[in-house]
Amino acid sequence: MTSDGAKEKIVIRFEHNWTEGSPQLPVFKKMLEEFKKENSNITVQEESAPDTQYHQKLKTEISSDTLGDIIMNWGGSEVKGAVKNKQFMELTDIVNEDPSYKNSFVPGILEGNNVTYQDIEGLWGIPINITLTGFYYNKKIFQSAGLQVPETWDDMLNVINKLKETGTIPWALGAQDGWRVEHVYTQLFYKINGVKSIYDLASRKVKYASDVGVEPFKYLEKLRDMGAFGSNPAAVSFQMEQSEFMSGKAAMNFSLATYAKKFTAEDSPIKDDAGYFAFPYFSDKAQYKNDIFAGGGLSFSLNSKLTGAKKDAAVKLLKHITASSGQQQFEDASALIPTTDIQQNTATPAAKLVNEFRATFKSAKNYANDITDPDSLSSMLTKLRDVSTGLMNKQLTAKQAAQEMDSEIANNE
Amino acid sequence: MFTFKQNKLIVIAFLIPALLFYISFMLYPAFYAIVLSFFKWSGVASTDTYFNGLNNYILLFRNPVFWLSVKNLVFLLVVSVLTQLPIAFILAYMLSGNIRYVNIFKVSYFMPVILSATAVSMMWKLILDDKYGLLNNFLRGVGLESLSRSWLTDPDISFKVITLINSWQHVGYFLIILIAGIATISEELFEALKIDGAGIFTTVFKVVIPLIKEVIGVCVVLILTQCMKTFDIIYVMTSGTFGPNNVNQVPVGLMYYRSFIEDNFGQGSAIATMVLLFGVLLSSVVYIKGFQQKNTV
Repeated sequence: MTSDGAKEKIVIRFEHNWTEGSPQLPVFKKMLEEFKKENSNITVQEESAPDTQYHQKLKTEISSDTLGDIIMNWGGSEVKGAVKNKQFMELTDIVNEDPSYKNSFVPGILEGNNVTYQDIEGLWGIPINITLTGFYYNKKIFQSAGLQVPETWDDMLNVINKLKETGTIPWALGAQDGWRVEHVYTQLFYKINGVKSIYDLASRKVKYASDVGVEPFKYLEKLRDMGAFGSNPAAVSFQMEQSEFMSGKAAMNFSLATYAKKFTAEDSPIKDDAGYFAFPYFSDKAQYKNDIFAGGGLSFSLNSKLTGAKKDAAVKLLKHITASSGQQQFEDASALIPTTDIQQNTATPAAKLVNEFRATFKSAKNYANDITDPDSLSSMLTKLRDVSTGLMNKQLTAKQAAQEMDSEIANNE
Repeated sequence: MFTFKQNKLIVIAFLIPALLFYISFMLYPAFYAIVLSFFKWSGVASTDTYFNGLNNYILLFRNPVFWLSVKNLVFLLVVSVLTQLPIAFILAYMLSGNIRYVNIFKVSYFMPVILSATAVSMMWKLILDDKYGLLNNFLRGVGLESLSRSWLTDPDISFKVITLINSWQHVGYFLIILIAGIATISEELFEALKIDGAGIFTTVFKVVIPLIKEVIGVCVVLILTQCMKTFDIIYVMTSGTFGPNNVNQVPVGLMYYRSFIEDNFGQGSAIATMVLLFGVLLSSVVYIKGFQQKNTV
């Protein structure tokens, strides 16, 4: 408050990547207007950049210690330097002070790998999106081939073989882009070893070249050799992968829930045919049936330099954006999966598909993002993606791929 | 007459801005990178740097990806010199003669030089795509499917393909330099050679090349430095991965990954230092030993 009783004028620097054309931008603008009506003394100064440039901007600002007040980020290794350097505010007390806000979040999401770290205590961001993965499939192709949705990997291998007979690419996979193969490896890893095994790898209790790391690579090799991904998946980019699935050349696509809107859009050739099924489990590993590749994605963090009235204002705005009502609006606009437990939208085909992803998440026993998230060595995710493409390109065997992961550790620690 | 001795202050005053710029943006960053190569630093401002001795270099020498990148660089250097220079020279010699519409040819050969590396890379990426690219579809269409390849993902050929595309883009640049060099040779000399019955072999190897030796030397140094810095064309053609599995990795690409993706500025600086030292040494030795005209009295 100023001396004449008027509220202090405050400017909050809000950094995000929702630029013109982003479906989230109109929602965000509306939320800022709502906030402004109730908080006329607070001005929100937006700083936005398109996705790739935003990541560069974030890195530069972390390096130069010039971060905004509220910072959009994806947690994990990208911002670990900022967390270690105490540039992000620790948020546990802020969340605990407001039980209704805290309890609105899906259980476990505030302990996820994208907002917490194994070796640094505390909560470093508020996630507003859950990364969910699963299989999209073409119902028309399945119907004409007389196929049912697979539940186990025995079913899945059967589906793949039958689809090959029809001349369709069973599973579109852009193995040229390492992260595509790494996602498949990760999900196979969780179904074979369970999510908690990633901490054994990160703590070096277990090597990648043991059965834990090798078995998922072996399964990937098996899928490659049986032609599950077509003739040369290493030559297929992510864009081509989506194109193959959307044009009906491929029957299945393991991908993120955020693409539900794209596959069911009015101009999508498969808008009425896109279905969903959960990543199959191994019958002899039924205990890991509900271990899934998912977790907090997009989050917002606060600058640790905030104090006094400005800190209070930033916390207020953060809660306004990340509370249930805000997240509902983002979901309606753009298939961002909320981290709060909210009324499910069933209005659009995309929303119906996303609800199927969400149902899998609700039944999950354990979940995590990338296997290398808890690893202190920052090069491990890149290395995993490199060896995964190497395996798909037949440069490496499963054992060699796992050994290269261990070599990366040995060469850098 | 304006002489340096009489006007030292004026000369120095004019040189100082350029010198300051050179020191600030070239010498100081290079020096700082060399110093940083002996430290461990994540790149985050105000975090501590830890003296790491020679560990950054030792870790690098233990890394098989580093040696793969060096092998690729040597290949790029050798092939670039052996393709760009001869092709540029042959075209320059031909275009130095009496040819109609010679400027159209010069412009056509120079066009790839003015295109951005990103545009060139995207164009060739589309042409060479395994499934949907122009080249493989053409080969399949004319019954030559056996010749179709995974041009950018086959580990045996992808870097060779990228090297040739890099050469294709830059030949025009050296063509123009060599045309200028050949233009310095007097017309009367060519006429005298014709009258004396000198064949093309004698004219080119005994007269033209020796006379433009220093120009060729400059071209070689420029090719070498251009190759040492090559990053963009490989980055775009491999979708930023330098793969599959680092098969197209080069030292500058590894430096980028270490510094900006893995937050390991110490190792990144170690690579940068080695690239700098190797580049300076190689260029100096090649130029001085190979091409510098010896002054005789």
